[in-house]
Amino acid sequence: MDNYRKLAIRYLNMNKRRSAIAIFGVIVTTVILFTFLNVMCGLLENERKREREEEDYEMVFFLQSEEQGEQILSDRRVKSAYIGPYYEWSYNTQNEELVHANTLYVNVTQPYRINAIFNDICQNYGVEGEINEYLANLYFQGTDEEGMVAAALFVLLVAYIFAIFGVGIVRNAIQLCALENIRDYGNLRCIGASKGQLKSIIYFQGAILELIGIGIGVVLGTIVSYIVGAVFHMEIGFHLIGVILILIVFMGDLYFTMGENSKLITGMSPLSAIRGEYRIKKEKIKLREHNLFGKIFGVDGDYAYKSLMRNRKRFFRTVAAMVFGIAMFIGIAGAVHSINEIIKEKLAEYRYYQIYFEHRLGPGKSIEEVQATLPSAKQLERLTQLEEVTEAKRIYSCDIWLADTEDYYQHYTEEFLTTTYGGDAMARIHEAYQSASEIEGKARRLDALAAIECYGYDETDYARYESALVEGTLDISDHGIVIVNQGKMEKAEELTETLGIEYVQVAITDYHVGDTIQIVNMERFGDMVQTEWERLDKEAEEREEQLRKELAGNEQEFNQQVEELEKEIYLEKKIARYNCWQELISQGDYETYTIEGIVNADVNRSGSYFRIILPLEQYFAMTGTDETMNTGMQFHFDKIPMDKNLSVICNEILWGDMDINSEIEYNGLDYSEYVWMIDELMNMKKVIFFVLLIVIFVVLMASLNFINATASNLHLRRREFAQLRVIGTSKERLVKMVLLEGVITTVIANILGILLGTGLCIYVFYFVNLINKLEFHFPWLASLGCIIGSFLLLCGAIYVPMRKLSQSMVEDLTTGGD
Amino acid sequence: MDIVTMEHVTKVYGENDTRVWGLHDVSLTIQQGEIVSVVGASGSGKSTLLHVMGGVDAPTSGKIVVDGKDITKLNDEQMAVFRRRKIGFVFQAYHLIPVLSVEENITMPILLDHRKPDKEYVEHIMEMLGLQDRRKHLPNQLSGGQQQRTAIARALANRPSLILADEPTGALDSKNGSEVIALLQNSVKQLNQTLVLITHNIDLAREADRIIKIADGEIVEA
Repeated sequence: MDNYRKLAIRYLNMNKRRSAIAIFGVIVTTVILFTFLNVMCGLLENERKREREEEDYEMVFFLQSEEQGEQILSDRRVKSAYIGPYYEWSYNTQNEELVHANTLYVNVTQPYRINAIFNDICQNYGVEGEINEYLANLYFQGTDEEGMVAAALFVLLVAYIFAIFGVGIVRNAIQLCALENIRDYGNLRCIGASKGQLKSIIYFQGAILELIGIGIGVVLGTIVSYIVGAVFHMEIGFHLIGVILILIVFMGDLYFTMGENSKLITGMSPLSAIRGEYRIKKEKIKLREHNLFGKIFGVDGDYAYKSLMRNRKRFFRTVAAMVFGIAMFIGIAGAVHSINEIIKEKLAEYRYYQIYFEHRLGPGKSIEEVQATLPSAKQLERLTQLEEVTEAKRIYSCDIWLADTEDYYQHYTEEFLTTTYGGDAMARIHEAYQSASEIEGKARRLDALAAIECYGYDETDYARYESALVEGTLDISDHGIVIVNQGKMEKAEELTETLGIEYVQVAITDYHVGDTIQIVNMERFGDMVQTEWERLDKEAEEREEQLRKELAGNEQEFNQQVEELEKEIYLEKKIARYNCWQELISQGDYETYTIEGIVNADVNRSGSYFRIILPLEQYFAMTGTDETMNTGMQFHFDKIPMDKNLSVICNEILWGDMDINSEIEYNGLDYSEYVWMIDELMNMKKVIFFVLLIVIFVVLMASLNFINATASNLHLRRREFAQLRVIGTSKERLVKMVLLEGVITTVIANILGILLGTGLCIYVFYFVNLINKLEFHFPWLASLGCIIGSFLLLCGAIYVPMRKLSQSMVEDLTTGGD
Repeated sequence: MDIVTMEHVTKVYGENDTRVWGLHDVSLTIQQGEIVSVVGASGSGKSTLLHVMGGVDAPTSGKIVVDGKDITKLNDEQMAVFRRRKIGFVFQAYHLIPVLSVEENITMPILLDHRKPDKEYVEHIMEMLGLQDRRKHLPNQLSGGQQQRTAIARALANRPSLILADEPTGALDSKNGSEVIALLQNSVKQLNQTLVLITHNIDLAREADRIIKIADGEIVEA
């Protein structure tokens, strides 16, 4: 053997399995890190390309003379340049404005030195100019240089954390190998190996494992990067910088950790190595009294506790690492669980027909007008054909008008009027209505006080209310009605404790079965209002035509006058409707309906308000409509819809081809926000799931390290185990005694970890609750999984090496341990 | 009464070409209350003899009866129980549990047997071995001689039938060595126990009732 390094390979070959595990750990960390770095580099590269396609210049110079331009062009740092006018976007005029006509657009040879080169050119040639900030940022330059540098530092930090895991596995593997062969190292020292030569064996072993892992990891990482690119339709490519970075952080970290390992063998005398006296430092063991664990588990518990406490630092480090891992896991799992529960609650609020598009009928609205605002038959058909849609039905709905608004108002509960946003608004409207002396004031507010939503349902949908029936029956008479009298309503703003919307469950009215409600003759009311409104529309048309003639050529004045006219007609219509309503009442043209059933929730659709629900036939009779007069469509999903077409269709229905930012004119179409809610919640879930994956990865890597470290520590104690066996401890019992150490550690770590994780979650939720009311749900299942997982990890990490302890006590007594 | 009977005991290490005889067809008997010294050159098989006799190592073949029980037929659990009840070991390297105090180390075999230590007896042993003032000390706070005395006390604590001492003075200076041997012999006699002692020191060996000489794994003189 010409050098000691060959020994390194032999030692690695002696325990191929351990070497393979260490390489596997490095591969996993490298694949993840390289994919991350490669994708990041790819994205940065793509963004640079995209920006250069739009604005291919790094800096501009506002030339004052031709000579100045020639001087800059002759600068060796200028790679390419062209001359042209320079425009800048003006927020005032909302247009591009010319800044300078003769502008030199420049790209330099070293884009990573844009700032320095720009300043230099400005100073040398006495020219003013600007840096293409966005492009410069993509080279970590420009005025926002710090932001990009911070991003780059974050990437480096991530890389370093990964390196810690990757190298940690190698460190433990080499440490274990060094301990197993400690006598060999002693022999080598005796026959003249220098400390440096022994060190080189350790470093060489680490480097071999690390480089093999990195090599395979980079190849696999490249493949994964390409897959990621293909999935997300991105051009990723291969970026050497990722490999260099990995080599720097991994090998750098390896240098220090292998230094620690080599101290193990170089720090002891040849004689101690041969004697198997591993420890460089004598343990400072303190005498400990009998403890709680001794009282519970007897001598086994006493020994376990004292063994743990022999190296308090290591014990606390282990517990702290576990507590941190458990707390992170519980925290994230708590967030995932809470969001899941919130999703469930939110989705449940959308009731049976989660998605609907409707436009309720009402006095003044013809069925043609209503149906014209509904989604097209083709759009509805596309929705119906979605895989997740299991039921699609027509909606029959109408605003019916009460004859006695005051009587109805008096039935509103105090709770509704004082604690809800809607009740508060209703109280203000009522007050304004009562105090209005002119007809206009009353007419403006009447619909809010008199109109009630009314829905007609077929037999199946109607029967669904049975589950929410709190009083009376659904089997109603001809002049009977069922009311939805409770709901989760938006809390009054002054009562909210958060910045967001809060909800409160209230009874809206104090109606009971047997109470009555008077409803005007809706068919006649509709006809009367329709006639009046048509007359007003006609009058508006004539007056608009007249204005057009009078103000021909003065378009601005014409538009202003038309706007005034529209406002006037709008008010006229309200007054006309008010008059019709008054006329019906004065003629006694209304009917009295008895409340025969009260339900406390609308089981068919979202939204919470006082509603009347009726079987279809009775709905038609009350509203004067028929089955051709549907006012929308509703859809039921058996499972959460994941089809992206759903949101595409829904967006198309609401906004069509419109720019999403443009102002949407409200056309009376009512819809549920289910689709967007799902999108939002699912995105949130994806982010948290991603974080959870990272935490799981970190925990797994830490576990692998922990397993290796535990194996090393147990290896160090094998003489002590042999001593215990000699004085009469069976192997089985010895395993149990040492397992107890794991149990104690796990119990303490779990208690602290779960408490900390839960505390952390509650603390975060406290702040989240300042913005939006979200309830924290303790992750019972995750906690159980955490307890079981950590027990399995710790006990497994002890059990496996303990089972493998050499059968021969003699061997361990004479060679092993300290 | 025979406390130890070994019949044609063989211990072989390794296989085929690397085969080494630790013990080769060893047969012997030791009487109760007897103090026996085992002497021989390094690698002659002294420690192997002691290890198989104490059930720390299993023989390749042969029969070993200790206190009326064929220990070659015991499984690991039974062997462990047998060791803690019937055998007391004293090693050259003391082999004390580093996290336990002197008193705890001494009572450990009793506690492992789920029994309450006989306080008076433990006190008596500690007094006999001069460890009263060291009861709360950890092994690393003791001198070599004190550690070996603790190991002896531990070996005696369970009132075993047989004490096996493997070069108990090997790590001690001559003064401490003589003291330890004297204490050991004295204790064994006082408690009517049997002692098998491995030693290189021929003067110490001569103080025994009988000397067994061993060479190349075979008993050459008993």
